[in-house]
Amino acid sequence: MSVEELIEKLAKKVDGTKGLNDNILIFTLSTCMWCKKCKTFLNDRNMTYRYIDVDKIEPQDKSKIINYLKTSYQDRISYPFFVCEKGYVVGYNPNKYVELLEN
Amino acid sequence: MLDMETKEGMQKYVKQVSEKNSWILNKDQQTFNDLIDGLVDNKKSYGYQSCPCRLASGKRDLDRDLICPCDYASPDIQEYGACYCNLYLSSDFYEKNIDFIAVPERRPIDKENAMLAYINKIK
Repeated sequence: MSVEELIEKLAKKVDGTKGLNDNILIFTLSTCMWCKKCKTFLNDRNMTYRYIDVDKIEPQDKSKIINYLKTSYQDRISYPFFVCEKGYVVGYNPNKYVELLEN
Repeated sequence: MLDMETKEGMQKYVKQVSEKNSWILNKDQQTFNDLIDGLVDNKKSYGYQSCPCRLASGKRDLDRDLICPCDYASPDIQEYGACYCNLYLSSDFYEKNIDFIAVPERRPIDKENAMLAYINKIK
């Protein structure tokens, strides 16, 4: 299974009325309050997004996902790891989300 | 003996930690509750209260530095006024009129890579 297929399989979708073309995907931890804030940020704006709680997936999948993030984006992985059409943001940073989603 | 698999036990534990270190706890009730829930979940999942804002390996030896209070809490509070999670804050934190502060990751990347190497081997 390719990483793209794995992401498709693991990602949970939250439906909203906005951001349909932003293709937002966030990698989060179920225990992390910064990740909760990130989800709240998107929920409050009624954005459509997908998320994967990385701590809740099987070790083999976890390994594939983290390696993918390290290879595709940057070596240092922190959560929430926010990816959208126009770029990515590591760590909770609402100002940067606004920049990437509203420009 | 505190039962840290309960919210009450974990709350008492972090209170003791904060008092011992002359830190204060995050006053935002929602944030505080989320952090306590995360610590309780990790205690139940791993057997130790690994930092809720970082991914643990599940192997105690590799996660030892992340057990709350993590090894980075003290230098982070000294430098930024808050630990990585913003659970523990410096006593003057709220005098700065901010609610939260994003603390950069201080954990050496070698430790994160060791965690990944361990996960890569799990079949």
